[in-house]
Amino acid sequence: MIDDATPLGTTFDGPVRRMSIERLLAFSGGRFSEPGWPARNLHTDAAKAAEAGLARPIASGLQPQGHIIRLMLDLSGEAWSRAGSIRLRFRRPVYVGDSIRARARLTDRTADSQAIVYTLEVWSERQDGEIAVTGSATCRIQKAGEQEERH
Amino acid sequence: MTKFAHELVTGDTLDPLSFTVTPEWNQQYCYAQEDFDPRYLAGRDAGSAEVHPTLLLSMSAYTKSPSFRLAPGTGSIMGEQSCTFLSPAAVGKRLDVTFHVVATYEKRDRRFEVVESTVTDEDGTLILRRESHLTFGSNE
Repeated sequence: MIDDATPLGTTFDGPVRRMSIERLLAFSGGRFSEPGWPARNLHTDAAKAAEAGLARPIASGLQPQGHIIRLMLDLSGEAWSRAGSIRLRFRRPVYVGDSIRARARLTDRTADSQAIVYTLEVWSERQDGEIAVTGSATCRIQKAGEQEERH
Repeated sequence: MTKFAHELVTGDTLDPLSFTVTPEWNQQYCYAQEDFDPRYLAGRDAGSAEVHPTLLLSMSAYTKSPSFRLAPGTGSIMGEQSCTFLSPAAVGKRLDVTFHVVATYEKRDRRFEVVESTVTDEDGTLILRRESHLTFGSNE
């Protein structure tokens, strides 16, 4: 968890995730319960990927995004689901068989009377060191004993 | 809405989507993401399990709108996205998604559409607000 004592510049790493075909099928193949599962598309099927000019099926950008969100949940706890924002650019593809890791660096911290807003640089790094997804995340965490005023 | 996706302009609206997440469907996303946090499985404090965030993101993509249509031989590419989580969504509750084209622009000879999606639950609670910058390419 980050808190008001966490030094700016501190980096955080999520676990390495291997983008196996099973994970891609579960994410992009439609619901298991649907007739004809899995749906064939460039995320799940080599032939469809080839039709789109890809050497292999490509992971949906939402998968590395999800790993970054998981890391943010680990860092900011319950607050993320109620006051977490993320802005990402999808820079390079993540293919089936690649491994990626979500990473974050605390870059800013501002406070008002009720809460602290943390800003982090976030990115998803492939096994070859290339950055697949990059951006920033912010989370507003209530100070102990303070109630958020909701409008 | 009868336009192809690449023909949408600012002010266009795609048909809304409603769906209800089952425990099994939620667990499918937990498996896909290797994320078996108890909040997504059985819920905590006797509450409902929460919908996995990637399921919310997946179902709020405008490709999920019933009126989304790609022109033959084209594909959509997401260049940038921002989203804000405003409240957890509960498994078993109906979720409603709206899709609005809020801007278009050109960058490096590509046309982009900015689509705002919102997810609201059956009680009217705003769950997620999302903005996606999409462009289109030929598959041929």
